[in-house]
Amino acid sequence: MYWKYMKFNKVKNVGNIIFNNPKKNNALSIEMRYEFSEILNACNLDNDIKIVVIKSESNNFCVGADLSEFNSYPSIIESNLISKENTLWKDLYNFNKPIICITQGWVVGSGFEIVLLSDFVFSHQSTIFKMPEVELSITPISGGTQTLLKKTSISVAKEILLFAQPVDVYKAYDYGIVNFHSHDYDLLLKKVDEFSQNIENIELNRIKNVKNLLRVSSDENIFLSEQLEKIYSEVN
Amino acid sequence: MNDKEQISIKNKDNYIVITINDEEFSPELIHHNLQSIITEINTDKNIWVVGFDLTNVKQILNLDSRELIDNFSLTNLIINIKKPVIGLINGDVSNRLLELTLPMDYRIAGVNSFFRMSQMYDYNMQFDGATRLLPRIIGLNQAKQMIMFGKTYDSKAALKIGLINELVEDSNLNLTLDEKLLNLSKNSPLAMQFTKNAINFNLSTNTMQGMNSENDLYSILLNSHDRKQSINAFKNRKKRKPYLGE
Repeated sequence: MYWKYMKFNKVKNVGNIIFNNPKKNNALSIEMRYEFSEILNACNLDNDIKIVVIKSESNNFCVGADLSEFNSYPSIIESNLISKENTLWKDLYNFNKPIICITQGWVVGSGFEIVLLSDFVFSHQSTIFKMPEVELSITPISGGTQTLLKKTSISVAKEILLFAQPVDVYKAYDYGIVNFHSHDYDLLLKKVDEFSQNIENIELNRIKNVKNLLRVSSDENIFLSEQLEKIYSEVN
Repeated sequence: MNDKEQISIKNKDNYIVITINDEEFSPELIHHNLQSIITEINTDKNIWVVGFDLTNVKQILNLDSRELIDNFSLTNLIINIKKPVIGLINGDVSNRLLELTLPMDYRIAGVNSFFRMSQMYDYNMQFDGATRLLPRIIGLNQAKQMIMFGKTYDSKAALKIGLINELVEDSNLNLTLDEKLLNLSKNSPLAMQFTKNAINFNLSTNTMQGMNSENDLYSILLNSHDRKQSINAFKNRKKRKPYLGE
Protein backbone atom coordinates (compact mmCIF):
# COMPACT_ATOMS: atom_id res chain seq x y z
CA MET A 1 0.00 0.00 0.00
CA TYR A 2 1.29 3.46 -0.83
CA TRP A 3 0.65 6.75 0.84
CA LYS A 4 1.28 10.22 -0.51
CA TYR A 5 2.68 11.93 2.56
CA MET A 6 3.78 9.01 4.73
CA LYS A 7 6.06 6.01 4.40
CA PHE A 8 5.95 2.81 6.36
CA ASN A 9 8.20 -0.17 6.76
CA LYS A 10 8.50 -3.04 9.15
CA VAL A 11 11.84 -4.33 10.40
CA LYS A 12 11.53 -7.33 12.71
CA ASN A 13 9.24 -6.15 15.54
CA VAL A 14 9.52 -2.47 14.74
CA GLY A 15 6.98 -0.53 12.70
CA ASN A 16 8.64 2.58 11.25
CA ILE A 17 6.25 5.43 10.49
CA ILE A 18 8.00 8.09 8.43
CA PHE A 19 6.77 11.60 7.66
CA ASN A 20 7.28 12.16 3.95
CA ASN A 21 6.17 15.66 3.05
CA PRO A 22 9.60 17.37 2.83
CA LYS A 23 8.42 20.21 0.59
CA LYS A 24 6.25 21.45 3.44
CA ASN A 25 8.66 20.43 6.21
CA ASN A 26 6.19 17.67 7.09
CA ALA A 27 3.38 20.11 7.88
CA LEU A 28 0.41 17.92 8.80
CA SER A 29 -2.37 18.36 6.29
CA ILE A 30 -5.77 16.74 6.77
CA GLU A 31 -4.86 14.07 4.20
CA MET A 32 -1.53 13.39 5.90
CA ARG A 33 -3.31 12.96 9.25
CA TYR A 34 -5.68 10.41 7.69
CA GLU A 35 -2.73 8.49 6.28
CA PHE A 36 -0.99 8.62 9.66
CA SER A 37 -4.17 7.30 11.36
CA GLU A 38 -4.47 4.48 8.86
CA ILE A 39 -0.88 3.34 9.41
CA LEU A 40 -1.18 3.66 13.19
CA ASN A 41 -4.32 1.52 13.23
CA ALA A 42 -2.58 -1.09 11.06
CA CYS A 43 0.34 -1.13 13.52
CA ASN A 44 -2.13 -1.64 16.34
CA LEU A 45 -3.62 -4.69 14.62
CA ASP A 46 -0.32 -6.23 13.53
CA ASN A 47 0.77 -8.61 16.29
CA ASP A 48 4.30 -8.82 14.91
CA ILE A 49 4.85 -5.16 15.74
CA LYS A 50 5.93 -4.53 19.30
CA ILE A 51 7.28 -0.99 18.96
CA VAL A 52 6.42 1.90 16.71
CA VAL A 53 9.05 4.45 15.70
CA ILE A 54 7.95 7.80 14.31
CA LYS A 55 10.54 9.80 12.40
CA SER A 56 11.24 11.95 9.38
CA GLU A 57 13.78 11.46 6.64
CA SER A 58 14.10 15.17 5.94
CA ASN A 59 15.79 17.86 8.05
CA ASN A 60 12.74 18.69 10.13
CA PHE A 61 10.62 16.29 12.14
CA CYS A 62 7.33 18.17 11.66
CA VAL A 63 6.42 21.88 11.63
CA GLY A 64 2.88 21.32 12.89
CA ALA A 65 -0.47 21.75 11.20
CA ASP A 66 -0.58 22.81 7.56
CA LEU A 67 -1.75 26.40 8.08
CA SER A 68 -2.52 26.80 4.37
CA GLU A 69 -5.65 24.74 5.08
CA PHE A 70 -6.76 27.07 7.87
CA ASN A 71 -9.53 29.61 7.16
CA SER A 72 -10.24 27.73 3.93
CA TYR A 73 -13.50 26.07 4.92
CA PRO A 74 -16.63 28.00 4.06
CA SER A 75 -18.34 27.02 7.26
CA ILE A 76 -17.16 27.18 10.86
CA ILE A 77 -19.35 24.15 11.58
CA GLU A 78 -17.56 22.11 8.90
CA SER A 79 -14.22 23.23 10.24
CA ASN A 80 -15.33 22.33 13.75
CA LEU A 81 -16.49 18.90 12.66
CA ILE A 82 -13.15 18.15 11.00
CA SER A 83 -11.30 18.91 14.20
CA LYS A 84 -13.74 16.81 16.25
CA GLU A 85 -13.72 13.87 13.82
CA ASN A 86 -9.97 13.59 13.92
CA THR A 87 -9.15 10.84 16.41
CA LEU A 88 -5.44 10.56 15.61
CA TRP A 89 -4.38 12.26 18.86
CA LYS A 90 -6.59 10.06 21.00
CA ASP A 91 -5.46 6.98 19.05
CA LEU A 92 -1.86 7.92 19.79
CA TYR A 93 -2.67 8.51 23.47
CA ASN A 94 -4.44 5.15 23.76
CA PHE A 95 -1.95 3.22 21.62
CA ASN A 96 -0.92 0.20 23.66
CA LYS A 97 2.53 -0.44 22.20
CA PRO A 98 5.57 1.71 22.97
CA ILE A 99 6.05 4.67 20.64
CA ILE A 100 9.48 6.17 20.07
CA CYS A 101 9.96 9.49 18.31
CA ILE A 102 13.29 10.30 16.67
CA THR A 103 13.46 14.04 16.16
CA GLN A 104 15.61 16.50 14.26
CA GLY A 105 15.20 20.12 13.19
CA TRP A 106 11.89 21.85 13.88
CA VAL A 107 9.34 20.09 16.07
CA VAL A 108 6.51 22.59 16.13
CA GLY A 109 2.87 22.70 17.26
CA SER A 110 1.11 19.40 16.55
CA GLY A 111 4.54 17.96 15.62
CA PHE A 112 5.60 18.68 19.19
CA GLU A 113 2.29 17.27 20.44
CA ILE A 114 2.99 13.95 18.63
CA VAL A 115 6.26 13.82 20.55
CA LEU A 116 4.37 14.44 23.79
CA LEU A 117 1.99 11.59 22.96
CA SER A 118 4.89 9.18 22.49
CA ASP A 119 6.69 7.22 25.19
CA PHE A 120 10.34 7.87 24.40
CA VAL A 121 12.03 10.71 22.60
CA PHE A 122 15.45 10.40 20.99
CA SER A 123 16.57 13.77 19.67
CA HIS A 124 19.29 14.94 17.36
CA GLN A 125 20.96 18.08 18.67
CA SER A 126 19.51 20.10 15.79
CA THR A 127 16.03 19.63 17.29
CA ILE A 128 14.11 22.73 18.36
CA PHE A 129 10.73 22.38 20.01
CA LYS A 130 8.15 25.16 19.90
CA MET A 131 4.45 25.68 20.59
CA PRO A 132 3.64 28.88 18.64
CA GLU A 133 -0.17 28.80 19.01
CA VAL A 134 -0.60 31.89 21.21
CA GLU A 135 1.34 33.91 18.62
CA LEU A 136 -1.20 32.89 15.97
CA SER A 137 -4.31 33.28 18.12
CA ILE A 138 -5.08 29.59 18.17
CA THR A 139 -4.84 27.03 20.94
CA PRO A 140 -3.25 23.58 20.85
CA ILE A 141 -5.66 20.91 19.67
CA SER A 142 -3.61 17.72 19.74
CA GLY A 143 -3.54 17.33 23.51
CA GLY A 144 -0.53 19.58 24.19
CA THR A 145 -2.13 21.41 27.11
CA GLN A 146 -2.69 18.03 28.79
CA THR A 147 0.23 15.85 27.72
CA LEU A 148 2.93 18.42 28.39
CA LEU A 149 1.92 18.26 32.05
CA LYS A 150 2.49 14.51 32.04
CA LYS A 151 6.05 14.91 30.77
CA THR A 152 7.05 17.91 32.82
CA SER A 153 5.79 20.32 35.52
CA ILE A 154 2.89 22.75 35.30
CA SER A 155 5.36 25.68 35.44
CA VAL A 156 7.36 24.43 32.48
CA ALA A 157 4.16 23.63 30.56
CA LYS A 158 2.91 27.18 31.09
CA GLU A 159 6.27 28.65 30.12
CA ILE A 160 6.33 26.68 26.85
CA LEU A 161 2.66 27.21 25.97
CA LEU A 162 2.13 30.83 27.05
CA PHE A 163 5.48 32.32 26.04
CA ALA A 164 5.87 30.30 22.81
CA GLN A 165 9.63 30.35 23.24
CA PRO A 166 11.70 27.77 21.35
CA VAL A 167 13.18 25.01 23.50
CA ASP A 168 16.50 23.44 22.52
CA VAL A 169 17.47 19.81 23.12
CA TYR A 170 19.41 20.50 26.32
CA LYS A 171 16.53 22.34 27.94
CA ALA A 172 14.06 19.73 26.69
CA TYR A 173 16.24 17.03 28.28
CA ASP A 174 16.30 18.94 31.60
CA TYR A 175 12.52 19.34 31.41
CA GLY A 176 12.08 15.57 30.95
CA ILE A 177 10.72 15.83 27.40
CA VAL A 178 13.73 14.18 25.74
CA ASN A 179 15.12 10.82 26.90
CA PHE A 180 18.36 10.77 24.96
CA HIS A 181 20.12 13.22 22.68
CA SER A 182 23.16 13.16 20.46
CA HIS A 183 24.83 15.11 17.65
CA ASP A 184 25.17 11.77 15.85
CA TYR A 185 21.91 10.70 14.17
CA ASP A 186 23.25 7.18 13.55
CA LEU A 187 23.87 6.82 17.27
CA LEU A 188 20.20 7.67 17.90
CA LEU A 189 19.17 4.93 15.48
CA LYS A 190 21.55 2.53 17.22
CA LYS A 191 20.01 3.38 20.62
CA VAL A 192 16.54 2.73 19.23
CA ASP A 193 17.75 -0.62 17.88
CA GLU A 194 19.14 -1.55 21.31
CA PHE A 195 15.85 -0.63 22.92
CA SER A 196 13.87 -2.67 20.39
CA GLN A 197 16.13 -5.68 20.90
CA ASN A 198 15.59 -5.44 24.67
CA ILE A 199 11.89 -5.98 24.38
CA GLU A 200 11.96 -8.29 21.38
CA ASN A 201 11.48 -11.39 23.50
CA ILE A 202 8.80 -9.97 25.76
CA GLU A 203 5.31 -11.19 25.08
CA LEU A 204 3.21 -8.55 23.30
CA ASN A 205 0.32 -8.74 25.77
CA ARG A 206 2.63 -8.03 28.66
CA ILE A 207 4.02 -4.95 26.90
CA LYS A 208 0.50 -3.70 26.17
CA ASN A 209 -0.71 -4.30 29.72
CA VAL A 210 2.22 -2.52 31.32
CA LYS A 211 1.79 0.51 29.08
CA ASN A 212 -1.91 0.57 29.79
CA LEU A 213 -1.34 0.35 33.53
CA LEU A 214 1.16 3.19 33.45
CA ARG A 215 -1.27 5.34 31.47
CA VAL A 216 -4.17 4.68 33.80
CA SER A 217 -2.12 5.11 36.97
CA SER A 218 -0.79 8.46 35.84
CA ASP A 219 -4.30 9.61 34.97
CA GLU A 220 -6.74 8.09 37.42
CA ASN A 221 -6.79 7.82 41.18
CA ILE A 222 -4.32 5.49 42.80
CA PHE A 223 -6.98 3.09 44.16
CA LEU A 224 -8.37 2.37 40.69
CA SER A 225 -4.81 1.80 39.49
CA GLU A 226 -4.25 -0.66 42.34
CA GLN A 227 -7.34 -2.64 41.31
CA LEU A 228 -6.23 -2.73 37.69
CA GLU A 229 -2.74 -3.81 38.72
CA LYS A 230 -4.30 -6.80 40.55
CA ILE A 231 -6.57 -7.73 37.64
CA TYR A 232 -3.73 -7.54 35.11
CA SER A 233 -1.40 -9.65 37.27
CA GLU A 234 -4.07 -12.34 37.57
CA VAL A 235 -4.61 -12.37 33.81
CA ASN A 236 -0.86 -12.71 33.22
CA MET B 1 -9.07 51.47 38.22
CA ASN B 2 -8.28 53.35 41.46
CA ASP B 3 -5.35 52.73 43.72
CA LYS B 4 -6.33 50.69 46.71
CA GLU B 5 -4.96 50.98 50.21
CA GLN B 6 -2.13 48.49 50.72
CA ILE B 7 -2.09 47.89 46.99
CA SER B 8 -0.91 50.08 44.12
CA ILE B 9 -1.70 49.48 40.50
CA LYS B 10 0.15 50.35 37.31
CA ASN B 11 -1.84 49.97 34.15
CA LYS B 12 0.21 50.08 30.95
CA ASP B 13 -0.58 49.08 27.39
CA ASN B 14 -2.39 45.78 27.78
CA TYR B 15 -0.92 44.73 31.06
CA ILE B 16 -1.33 45.58 34.70
CA VAL B 17 1.11 45.41 37.61
CA ILE B 18 -0.32 44.99 41.09
CA THR B 19 2.13 45.93 43.83
CA ILE B 20 1.44 44.93 47.41
CA ASN B 21 3.03 47.63 49.53
CA ASP B 22 2.62 46.21 53.03
CA GLU B 23 5.66 44.44 54.42
CA GLU B 24 3.46 42.27 56.58
CA PHE B 25 -0.23 41.54 56.34
CA SER B 26 -2.89 39.06 57.24
CA PRO B 27 -4.81 37.48 54.32
CA GLU B 28 -8.24 38.53 55.61
CA LEU B 29 -7.20 42.19 55.55
CA ILE B 30 -6.18 42.18 51.90
CA HIS B 31 -8.65 39.61 50.55
CA HIS B 32 -11.51 42.01 49.83
CA ASN B 33 -9.36 44.56 47.98
CA LEU B 34 -7.65 41.88 45.97
CA GLN B 35 -10.92 40.20 45.11
CA SER B 36 -12.39 43.39 43.68
CA ILE B 37 -9.23 44.06 41.65
CA ILE B 38 -9.24 40.52 40.26
CA THR B 39 -12.91 40.78 39.30
CA GLU B 40 -12.03 43.91 37.32
CA ILE B 41 -9.06 42.17 35.69
CA ASN B 42 -11.19 39.22 34.62
CA THR B 43 -13.83 41.44 33.08
CA ASP B 44 -11.65 44.17 31.59
CA LYS B 45 -11.13 43.41 27.89
CA ASN B 46 -8.06 45.64 27.76
CA ILE B 47 -6.08 43.77 30.39
CA TRP B 48 -4.37 40.79 28.82
CA VAL B 49 -1.58 39.95 31.25
CA VAL B 50 -1.10 40.51 34.99
CA GLY B 51 2.03 41.13 37.05
CA PHE B 52 2.23 40.79 40.82
CA ASP B 53 5.07 42.67 42.48
CA LEU B 54 5.54 41.05 45.88
CA THR B 55 9.08 42.29 46.48
CA ASN B 56 7.98 44.60 49.32
CA VAL B 57 6.30 41.79 51.22
CA LYS B 58 8.36 40.23 53.99
CA GLN B 59 5.72 38.05 55.57
CA ILE B 60 2.11 37.00 55.20
CA LEU B 61 0.68 36.13 58.58
CA ASN B 62 -0.89 32.79 59.34
CA LEU B 63 -4.60 32.35 59.76
CA ASP B 64 -5.34 30.12 62.68
CA SER B 65 -8.40 28.22 61.57
CA ARG B 66 -9.42 26.23 58.50
CA GLU B 67 -12.59 28.26 58.26
CA LEU B 68 -10.64 31.52 57.97
CA ILE B 69 -8.39 30.05 55.29
CA ASP B 70 -11.37 28.79 53.30
CA ASN B 71 -13.01 32.21 53.46
CA PHE B 72 -9.90 34.27 52.81
CA SER B 73 -7.90 31.98 50.54
CA LEU B 74 -5.51 34.13 48.51
CA THR B 75 -4.51 31.07 46.46
CA ASN B 76 -8.06 30.61 45.25
CA LEU B 77 -8.22 34.27 44.28
CA ILE B 78 -5.05 34.07 42.18
CA ILE B 79 -5.92 30.72 40.61
CA ASN B 80 -9.18 32.27 39.36
CA ILE B 81 -7.41 34.96 37.34
CA LYS B 82 -8.19 34.01 33.76
CA LYS B 83 -5.23 35.81 32.25
CA PRO B 84 -1.54 34.86 32.53
CA VAL B 85 0.00 35.98 35.83
CA ILE B 86 3.68 36.70 36.45
CA GLY B 87 4.94 37.01 40.03
CA LEU B 88 7.96 39.03 41.16
CA ILE B 89 9.60 38.00 44.44
CA ASN B 90 12.81 38.75 46.30
CA GLY B 91 14.56 37.95 49.57
CA ASP B 92 13.08 35.56 52.10
CA VAL B 93 10.18 33.94 50.25
CA SER B 94 8.71 31.66 52.86
CA ASN B 95 5.54 29.92 53.88
CA ARG B 96 2.41 31.96 53.02
CA LEU B 97 4.35 34.32 50.77
CA LEU B 98 5.72 31.41 48.75
CA GLU B 99 2.28 29.81 48.80
CA LEU B 100 0.80 32.99 47.27
CA THR B 101 3.16 32.66 44.28
CA LEU B 102 2.32 29.02 43.53
CA PRO B 103 -0.89 29.64 41.53
CA MET B 104 0.94 32.21 39.39
CA ASP B 105 1.99 31.11 35.93
CA TYR B 106 5.57 32.40 35.92
CA ARG B 107 7.81 33.41 38.82
CA ILE B 108 10.75 35.81 38.60
CA ALA B 109 13.03 36.03 41.65
CA GLY B 110 16.03 38.09 42.75
CA VAL B 111 19.36 36.25 42.85
CA ASN B 112 19.62 36.51 46.63
CA SER B 113 16.21 35.01 47.32
CA PHE B 114 15.68 31.84 49.28
CA PHE B 115 12.62 29.70 49.67
CA ARG B 116 11.12 27.74 52.55
CA MET B 117 7.82 26.06 53.31
CA SER B 118 8.19 25.25 56.98
CA GLN B 119 4.70 25.82 58.42
CA MET B 120 4.79 22.35 59.89
CA TYR B 121 7.67 23.37 62.15
CA ASP B 122 5.88 26.52 63.26
CA TYR B 123 3.03 24.49 64.75
CA ASN B 124 0.82 25.52 61.89
CA MET B 125 -0.61 23.00 59.45
CA GLN B 126 -3.08 25.33 57.72
CA PHE B 127 -2.01 25.23 54.11
CA ASP B 128 -3.56 27.39 51.42
CA GLY B 129 -2.70 25.41 48.29
CA ALA B 130 0.89 24.35 48.96
CA THR B 131 0.16 20.63 49.26
CA ARG B 132 -1.91 20.77 46.05
CA LEU B 133 0.29 22.99 43.91
CA LEU B 134 3.86 22.47 45.05
CA PRO B 135 4.05 18.77 43.94
CA ARG B 136 2.72 19.79 40.53
CA ILE B 137 5.36 22.48 40.19
CA ILE B 138 8.51 20.82 41.56
CA GLY B 139 7.49 17.14 41.73
CA LEU B 140 6.34 15.12 44.71
CA ASN B 141 9.81 14.26 45.97
CA GLN B 142 11.04 17.86 46.17
CA ALA B 143 7.69 19.01 47.55
CA LYS B 144 7.98 16.52 50.40
CA GLN B 145 11.49 17.73 51.12
CA MET B 146 10.25 21.32 51.35
CA ILE B 147 7.07 20.70 53.31
CA MET B 148 7.99 17.76 55.52
CA PHE B 149 11.68 18.42 56.12
CA GLY B 150 11.43 22.21 55.92
CA LYS B 151 14.29 22.26 53.42
CA THR B 152 15.44 25.71 52.33
CA TYR B 153 16.41 26.27 48.69
CA ASP B 154 18.59 29.14 47.52
CA SER B 155 17.68 30.87 44.28
CA LYS B 156 19.88 28.72 42.04
CA ALA B 157 18.51 25.50 43.51
CA ALA B 158 14.97 26.88 43.25
CA LEU B 159 15.54 27.60 39.57
CA LYS B 160 16.94 24.12 39.02
CA ILE B 161 13.95 22.36 40.58
CA GLY B 162 11.50 24.63 38.73
CA LEU B 163 10.14 26.50 41.74
CA ILE B 164 10.96 29.73 39.94
CA ASN B 165 11.22 30.33 36.20
CA GLU B 166 13.80 33.09 36.07
CA LEU B 167 16.55 34.61 38.21
CA VAL B 168 17.61 38.25 37.88
CA GLU B 169 19.82 40.77 39.68
CA ASP B 170 17.95 42.86 42.26
CA SER B 171 18.46 46.02 40.20
CA ASN B 172 16.73 44.42 37.20
CA LEU B 173 13.69 42.95 38.92
CA ASN B 174 11.08 45.51 37.87
CA LEU B 175 12.55 45.98 34.42
CA THR B 176 12.43 42.23 33.82
CA LEU B 177 8.83 42.03 34.99
CA ASP B 178 7.84 44.84 32.61
CA GLU B 179 9.70 43.20 29.72
CA LYS B 180 8.06 39.83 30.33
CA LEU B 181 4.60 41.39 30.57
CA LEU B 182 5.16 43.40 27.42
CA ASN B 183 6.46 40.31 25.65
CA LEU B 184 3.42 38.27 26.66
CA SER B 185 1.00 41.01 25.75
CA LYS B 186 2.09 40.74 22.12
CA ASN B 187 0.49 37.29 21.99
CA SER B 188 -3.18 36.73 21.37
CA PRO B 189 -5.08 37.48 24.61
CA LEU B 190 -7.85 35.01 23.82
CA ALA B 191 -5.43 32.23 22.93
CA MET B 192 -3.42 32.83 26.13
CA GLN B 193 -6.57 32.84 28.23
CA PHE B 194 -7.93 29.67 26.65
CA THR B 195 -4.57 27.90 26.82
CA LYS B 196 -4.25 28.74 30.51
CA ASN B 197 -7.79 27.50 31.04
CA ALA B 198 -7.00 24.20 29.31
CA ILE B 199 -3.83 23.68 31.35
CA ASN B 200 -5.60 24.41 34.64
CA PHE B 201 -8.47 22.10 33.63
CA ASN B 202 -5.92 19.28 33.75
CA LEU B 203 -5.60 19.85 37.52
CA SER B 204 -9.11 18.50 38.01
CA THR B 205 -9.54 15.85 35.33
CA ASN B 206 -7.88 13.08 33.32
CA THR B 207 -6.10 13.42 29.99
CA MET B 208 -8.98 12.28 27.76
CA GLN B 209 -11.44 14.73 29.31
CA GLY B 210 -8.74 17.38 29.15
CA MET B 211 -8.27 16.70 25.44
CA ASN B 212 -12.02 17.06 24.86
CA SER B 213 -12.00 20.36 26.71
CA GLU B 214 -8.98 21.54 24.68
CA ASN B 215 -10.91 20.69 21.51
CA ASP B 216 -13.94 22.69 22.68
CA LEU B 217 -11.80 25.72 23.51
CA TYR B 218 -10.14 25.48 20.10
CA SER B 219 -13.54 25.44 18.42
CA ILE B 220 -14.68 28.57 20.27
CA LEU B 221 -11.66 30.44 18.90
CA LEU B 222 -12.34 29.36 15.31
CA ASN B 223 -14.63 32.29 14.67
CA SER B 224 -12.61 34.96 16.44
CA HIS B 225 -11.44 38.05 14.58
CA ASP B 226 -7.86 37.71 15.88
CA ARG B 227 -7.53 34.14 14.65
CA LYS B 228 -8.86 34.92 11.19
CA GLN B 229 -6.63 37.93 10.60
CA SER B 230 -3.56 36.25 12.09
CA ILE B 231 -3.88 33.10 9.98
CA ASN B 232 -4.60 35.13 6.84
CA ALA B 233 -1.52 37.28 7.48
CA PHE B 234 0.57 34.13 7.98
CA LYS B 235 -0.74 32.55 4.78
CA ASN B 236 -0.10 35.72 2.78
CA ARG B 237 3.32 36.20 4.38
CA LYS B 238 2.29 39.58 5.72
CA LYS B 239 2.83 41.09 9.15
CA ARG B 240 -0.27 40.58 11.23
CA LYS B 241 -2.09 43.51 12.80
CA PRO B 242 -1.98 43.90 16.59
CA TYR B 243 -4.48 41.69 18.34
CA LEU B 244 -7.75 43.15 19.59
CA GLY B 245 -8.89 40.42 21.93
CA GLU B 246 -11.95 39.75 19.79
